[in-house]
Amino acid sequence: MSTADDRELILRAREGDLNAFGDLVRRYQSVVFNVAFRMFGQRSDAEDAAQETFLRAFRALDTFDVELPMAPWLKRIATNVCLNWLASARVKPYLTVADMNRSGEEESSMDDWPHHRSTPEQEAVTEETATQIRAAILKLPPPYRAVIELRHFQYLSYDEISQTLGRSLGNVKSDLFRARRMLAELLKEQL
Amino acid sequence: MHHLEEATLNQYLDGSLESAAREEVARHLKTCEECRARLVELQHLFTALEAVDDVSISNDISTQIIAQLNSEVRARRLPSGLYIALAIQVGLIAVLFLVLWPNTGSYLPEIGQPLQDAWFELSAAWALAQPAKLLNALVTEFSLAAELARPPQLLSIGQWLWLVGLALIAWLAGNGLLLRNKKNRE
Repeated sequence: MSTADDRELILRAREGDLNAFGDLVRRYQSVVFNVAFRMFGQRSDAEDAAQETFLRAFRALDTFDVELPMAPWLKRIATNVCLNWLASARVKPYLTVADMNRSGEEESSMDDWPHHRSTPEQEAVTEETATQIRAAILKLPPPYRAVIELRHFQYLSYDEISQTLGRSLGNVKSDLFRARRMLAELLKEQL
Repeated sequence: MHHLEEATLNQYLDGSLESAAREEVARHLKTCEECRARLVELQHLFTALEAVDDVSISNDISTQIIAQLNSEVRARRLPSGLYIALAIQVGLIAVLFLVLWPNTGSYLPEIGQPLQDAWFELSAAWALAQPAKLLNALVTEFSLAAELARPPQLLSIGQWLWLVGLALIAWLAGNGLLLRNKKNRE
């Protein structure tokens, strides 16, 4: 999967080749889905947000610089879609314990377990920690979730986060530092 | 002893401090146990966040997306009937024009020269700052415009009604299709 391959698909999609765009969707749907899943905590909402992300990406395809990698661009669109939906209450901003448990049951397949750890016991402990961290992130207010997502999962700089969210650098920094403090409090026993 | 601010510790770990500030923080951390403990706590959080792996998506959403985009593309296309309605309207206008033209052709020279004279008078009035002449020219021009507005009596009332009726049907059909197309797109 190279930028050169993406470039060709993007150019064909711009000409109206929807099959080419379908290939791009299949390449990046997992990445985009995970952004939304971290923001919402619910698979069905995350899939809906991922669909909306790709629809918006298709409509804005002419504005995308084909020399750049596509994944960061898609992830930023996904983050903004999620924030908009949280702000408009299209998805529940905070999940109940029952919601999170239900979501956990949906991902009980072994395909969802991370593959690079050695023993099932280690995998179970790490997966449990990951679930707790995701749950803690979902307890943050949506703007704090967004800065954590953009900094720690999309590796954006403060300036890039500021541009993505359309907020001042000062606000981005204070939100990020407060979000980290809240997360540390929520995860005190796990860390 | 002063301690490092939360923002400073965060920026230190994020690697966003200038080198001089970074060195000062490093020097402080060597001597301040409390700030070191806060830094370690923050590092643990960073490490924990990095350990959160991606999960697999359950369904391939590409099919639904392509289906949605296909229906958007279809909705944007104009219905073929619209082009037929448009062609009928253009045809009727052409017929009206042809019916009127032979007589209009002979009618135009009667008003062409006076129009030219009126326009000349208008220009001359501005150039010579003669308001009275300008006013006169304007009045003359509007009188001629009133003359032009009266259509020549070329067809019988019945023939006019036929033509107007056909044009109205074509106009309604064309606009009805346009409205239906707009409704489908909404």
